[in-house]
Amino acid sequence: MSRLAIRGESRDSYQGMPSGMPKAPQNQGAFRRRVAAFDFYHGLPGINRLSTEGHRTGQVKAAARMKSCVCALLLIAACIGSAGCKHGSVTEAAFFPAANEVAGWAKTSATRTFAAADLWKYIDGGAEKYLKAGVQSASTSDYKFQDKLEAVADIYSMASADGAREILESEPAGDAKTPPLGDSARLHRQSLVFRQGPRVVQIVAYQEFPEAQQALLDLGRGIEKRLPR
Amino acid sequence: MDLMNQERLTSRRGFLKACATGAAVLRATKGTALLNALQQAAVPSKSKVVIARDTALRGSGSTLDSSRVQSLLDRAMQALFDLDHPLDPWKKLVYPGQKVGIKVNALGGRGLSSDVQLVAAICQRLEEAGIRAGDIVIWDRENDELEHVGFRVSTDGNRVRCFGTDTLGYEQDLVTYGTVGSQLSRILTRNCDVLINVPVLKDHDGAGVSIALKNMYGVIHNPNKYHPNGCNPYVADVNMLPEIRTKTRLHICDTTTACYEGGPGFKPEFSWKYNGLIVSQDPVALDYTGWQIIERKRAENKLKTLEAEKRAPQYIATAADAQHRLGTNDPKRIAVVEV
Repeated sequence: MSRLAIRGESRDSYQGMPSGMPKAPQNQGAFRRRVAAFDFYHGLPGINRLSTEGHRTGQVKAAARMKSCVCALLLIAACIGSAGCKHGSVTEAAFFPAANEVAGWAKTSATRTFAAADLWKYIDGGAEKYLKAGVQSASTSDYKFQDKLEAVADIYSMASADGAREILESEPAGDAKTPPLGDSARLHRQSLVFRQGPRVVQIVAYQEFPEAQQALLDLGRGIEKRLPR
Repeated sequence: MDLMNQERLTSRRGFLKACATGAAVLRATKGTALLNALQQAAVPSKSKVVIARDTALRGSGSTLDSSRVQSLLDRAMQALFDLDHPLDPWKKLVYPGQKVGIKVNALGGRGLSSDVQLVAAICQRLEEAGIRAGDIVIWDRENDELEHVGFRVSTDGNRVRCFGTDTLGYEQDLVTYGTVGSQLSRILTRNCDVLINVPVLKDHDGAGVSIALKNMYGVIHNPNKYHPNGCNPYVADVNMLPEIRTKTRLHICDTTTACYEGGPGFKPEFSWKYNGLIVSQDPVALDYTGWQIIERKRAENKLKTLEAEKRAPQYIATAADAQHRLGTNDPKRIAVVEV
């Protein structure tokens, strides 16, 4: 669903879709000022930031030229996926076990990665907690266990191990087990969360299943092996 | 706020205005006791909130039984409108020729989103009440989110449509109220005469809870701007945006599965099968009632109150205040009916 910014269009809407910039140049400045007052900055630095001084024609033209050049580079680089979400970089995608690498588990979706500024598109208001703890990015992928259990695995890369600890400890432990996994782990009936270094891994199963806990633990160990120490 | 409430407010305002002249005289003559009595007489009637539950909603398994969901919805609606036939409430809400939007909540992902079977039951009744299938649109922010939680995206005008705002985009113009300024989904502005809000009952890490009022964050292009300070007063201000306020007629909160901690995402360890619906035309009263349900569940699980965790949902009181009047959060003015 992504649309790359092209000359003359604004990417101020979070989907990267044109927000309806007025065609008449004399109306564009006022429009930019109004939207910029309420909009959140998206996209690449220096390209899509709406200027409240956009009524200065020379600066607008120079900015438009710069946008064209960088957008051309983007086209070459082939951005895929929705605005603010890209399929996992080499690093993040490598954290997720491939299909059948962990016995019984199949990877059923591509890995999606969200930069910190766009994390709200994935977890809405839940992003605030992660931002305060210093999240840098989050990656997610879907899995299925033996056609019986569907799950989602999220990996949050924090700025530091302290941030990862803050996230893990932000929720009550309840009656969670504490298996030997990563630096610290909690295993509930249908979910597993652990931290290793600056990373937090959460695996949530959507169904209740008698062997769910063992299956989640196996997948968690598969991810743990791939995380850098 | 729906038209019935607006009419009641108008008549109350007119009444109070007429009293104002008399009030000035009364104050001058120290007749405050009589003035207070007059103001008491102008207090509106209670907001009704119906809680419908069915312990056998899932039969012997974990998936919802569609016929029981339909019955649950009918029971809730009949109790809310005090009518005997399942179709009658819907005929009071909508009439043939209108376009009806059903704003679901898919953000929590699978496990904590508006249930497809509940929405199907709503669509069933709307069609039976005379709304053409193609005039019903189920929607939220993105097609991917909808599909991920089990909806089938379709823009076919011969059947109930279902798609995200990413299909049509947002309006060009900003609309503003108080602290918010946003572009509205074109689904609301161009495809809805009436909006039915189908939120989910859940804890929210920032706002405290996320129920009917906060589901309107999915209508605007920049919800991320409005999470500081526990989403207050932003939630209330968003709901004051004219098209949201005037088109929303009904709130059906999906509490088949609800969340009492760790929201707004799905955390199975902090979710429970409430197996119910909360229905009201007053979103503030609904949110207040839902908040109390969450607090009771938290207490059962020996968790602190949201107040103790410094995240009580302040936005509810703001939505009820004199500047907003989106409904009431006064328990003395909320009639909770359990069916």
